Amino acid sequence: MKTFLIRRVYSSFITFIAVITIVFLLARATGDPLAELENDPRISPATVAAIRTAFGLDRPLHEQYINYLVNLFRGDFGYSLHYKAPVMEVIMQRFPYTLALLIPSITLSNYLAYVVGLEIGWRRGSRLDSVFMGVSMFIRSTPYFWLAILFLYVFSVVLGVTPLFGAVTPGRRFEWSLDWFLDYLWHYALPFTVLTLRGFLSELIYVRNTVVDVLGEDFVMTARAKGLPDKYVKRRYVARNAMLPITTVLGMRYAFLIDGAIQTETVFSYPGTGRLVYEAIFNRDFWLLQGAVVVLALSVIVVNSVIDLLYAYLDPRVRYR
Amino acid sequence: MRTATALLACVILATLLVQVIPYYQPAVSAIRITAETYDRWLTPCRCYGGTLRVALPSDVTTLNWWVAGATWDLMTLDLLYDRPLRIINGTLTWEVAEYLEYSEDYLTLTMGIRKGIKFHDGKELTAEDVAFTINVLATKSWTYYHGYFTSVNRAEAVDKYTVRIYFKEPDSQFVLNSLTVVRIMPKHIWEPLLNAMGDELAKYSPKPEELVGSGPFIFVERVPGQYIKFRVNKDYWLGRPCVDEVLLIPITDVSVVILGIQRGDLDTYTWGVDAAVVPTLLANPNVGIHIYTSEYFYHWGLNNQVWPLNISKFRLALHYAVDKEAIVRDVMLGYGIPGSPGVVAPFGSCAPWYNPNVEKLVYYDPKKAAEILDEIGFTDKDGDGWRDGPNGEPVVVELYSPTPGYDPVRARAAEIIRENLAKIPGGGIKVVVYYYEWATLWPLIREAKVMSWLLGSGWSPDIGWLRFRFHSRPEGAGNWARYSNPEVDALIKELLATFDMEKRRELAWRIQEIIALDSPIINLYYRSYPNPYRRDRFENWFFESTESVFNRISVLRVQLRAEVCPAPVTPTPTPTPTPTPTPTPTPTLTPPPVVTVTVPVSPAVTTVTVPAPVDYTPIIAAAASIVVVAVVAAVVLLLLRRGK
Repeated sequence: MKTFLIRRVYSSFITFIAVITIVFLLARATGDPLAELENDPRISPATVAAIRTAFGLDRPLHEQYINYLVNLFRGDFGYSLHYKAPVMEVIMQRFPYTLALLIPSITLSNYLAYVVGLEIGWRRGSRLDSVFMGVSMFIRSTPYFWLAILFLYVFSVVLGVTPLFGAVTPGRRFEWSLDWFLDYLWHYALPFTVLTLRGFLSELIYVRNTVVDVLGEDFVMTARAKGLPDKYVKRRYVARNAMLPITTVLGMRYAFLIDGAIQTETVFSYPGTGRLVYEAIFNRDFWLLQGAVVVLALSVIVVNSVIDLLYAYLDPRVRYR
Repeated sequence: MRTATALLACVILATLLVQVIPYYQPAVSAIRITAETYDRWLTPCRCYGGTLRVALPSDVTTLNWWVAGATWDLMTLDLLYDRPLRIINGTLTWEVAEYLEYSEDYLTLTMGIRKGIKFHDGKELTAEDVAFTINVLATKSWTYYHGYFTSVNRAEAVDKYTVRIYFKEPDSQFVLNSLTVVRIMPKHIWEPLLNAMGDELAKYSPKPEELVGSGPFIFVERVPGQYIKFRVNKDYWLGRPCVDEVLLIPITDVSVVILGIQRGDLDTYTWGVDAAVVPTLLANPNVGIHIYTSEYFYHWGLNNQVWPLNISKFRLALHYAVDKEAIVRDVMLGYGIPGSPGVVAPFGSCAPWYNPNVEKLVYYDPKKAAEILDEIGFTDKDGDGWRDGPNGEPVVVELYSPTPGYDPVRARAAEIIRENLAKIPGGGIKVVVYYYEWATLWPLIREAKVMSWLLGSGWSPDIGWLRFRFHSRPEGAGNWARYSNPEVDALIKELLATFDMEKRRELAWRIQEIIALDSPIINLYYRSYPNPYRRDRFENWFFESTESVFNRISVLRVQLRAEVCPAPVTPTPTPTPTPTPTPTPTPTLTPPPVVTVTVPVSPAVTTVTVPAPVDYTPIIAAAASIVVVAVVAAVVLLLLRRGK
């Protein structure tokens, strides 16, 4: 186990460096972030040059890269050109909202997908299966943006039971009170519901198909032939074996938290990092993009490692040396 | 003895004369600037209170005014700070400054500022603050507006309420460009920060207690991505604004803004909505639409170094062939104004400089285009319907446009140009349109690597911006078409050197005429934006032709309607404005009178019979309810049956 962990850490480190190097180069290949300023008659060439120097954009590429790596390992993620603030500050102002929205949503939708998927996989071919698959296909094929706007329109405009925008009522200062939390939950309800519903119905198909695959295995047929009760077969034989691929797919959803739910954030005007990263690409805000990628790379590596360790727990056949 | 007496008498006489001589020196004639005062725009408050909720299209990125450049950042900061002067509806208006006087050689400008203006922390705004702000802008090249202060040598506070600005060379653009945009920053807050951080201040995010200005609203708090809150400055020197609070709410999806306005969750929006939703919005009697037009000129840029666009008459022919009205009518649904051939806009801050004669010089006339092309030898020699060069070379004009996703108007305008040019009588000009992603296209335009392009460009309040766009200087920035005309260069040089407003106007008119006939770029359109606002809570909005309803005057005078006013106010007599000293009959620099041009606004808004929008609500609600009920029921059923 120890060797496994050491090798894991080592390979994760290499992956991490490779990812941030590639992003560093690709980001700079998209062009000059200060280019737009040149069409503005208010800006003098001296100002553009000064901004370039202030953000280190005039240094040769390798120097920028080395500075970046050195600062990274000191915890300094650089400055956002667009927000004119430290990158981590910009990300951390929004990341808690993303985490608060996505972690419960992913967890609940994963759980529902697993429970429901298991049942309808077991009952494949039944009417229940058809109903769920039909609904699932329909929701999965609709553009998410459309679905979100539909929910917003029905619940916020027509029924008027949920608010139209924001994570809290605008102007409402944060305080440790029930009032504030209720307001927060009231704003939270609709984006959470839409995300969970969509996530649940999307993953449902995958879980169901995995279960169906496992049901075709010989040991399941043997177990049923032995006369074991359905409930027992479902839990001990099918679920446990279907669990492994399901864990990977459903588990990896946690890795991409920082990408957030950009469409959710746009439609519900919910603050989060998804929109931040998207805009960083368009504004050619290199450092913000790199900072986001660092977080992304780290979370993918960590989540992946956790899943692999979980494998060892779930499947006694798996041993790490 | 007699010599000595004579000598003594001479000395005494000389001494006396020397005393008297100063009184015989010619009086240094000062040149005063005239401007309006604020009073004409303000009205007394009949109701105090209320929170103004304003939607922004995207979040504010920085509240550090020194480096803020994004439109919404500057709009937000405008609530906090004041300027020396401001241009309102094309009129130069005194704000913090009370008078401006140039020395005869135009190397010194004396500014007198109002007395009794206080910052939000109680300290008085004095000449020191003004001088400090100008000095930082002049010396620190990383400040956003540094480009407007490069002619300044230094500024100093002569006394508590007088600032003197010394120039390196006379700058005729200074008053209109620089003094109307600079916000006065408190020296007692920013000087220590500047001393401590130096140039790192360019990357600084000010803390809430440092966001102190003299403006009508006081900063309360900012929650990134959610809202920015301001409360009223009750001691504001122009009189307290009527509303109690302003909330700026970033909402990126414009459909949500429209829903918010319809529902009454928002009072206004700082930008425009899609022209197609205007009838729906107007169906609600509580919603009003203000149409404002941006002076940003969207044009067809022609690479003047590439054949055949290097032929002036060829470009002129293209100009005659483009139907700008069709673009405004069909693509923008009437929400726009055809571009003026001389590029200077007929409205807004460009209006005083606009030359109406250019409309008679160049206009839509495909026959005239054909005539000119025939005259210069571009005829259809091989009978394929397309005109060829004088020696039979094929003529293809490549037009690069940003993608429809980036700017649908420009993308469609490109198609209209292609159609227009194909239909020139006697043979069309072949135009090939390429759609490029903006970030890829812009560097190509900058480096003149493409033949022609569609671009939207900005201007400055002072007409000197013509230099940025049309002067053939080597570094080229701004003059992307690489236009080079020595006559225009000379006229522009004179334009920048003279302070005589009448003379400047004459020069500007002449430049516009040459540009119209030379057509280095073909000015296509100005965009108009339908800006929605609610009418049922707040009243007394100020409508400006080039800005949304959320402007400086609106925030000062907008108030709750009588029906919803918690505590009506008996109107106090309007404070008499401080009498400005009667100007001595010295030459004045009056900005030329605003030529009131009736800006052709689409009649669609005022006279259209609003068709009842198809109501899909019941169908959508039914479908959604069925889906939700089905899913919930299935899940419940499943969980109940789990045991079996």
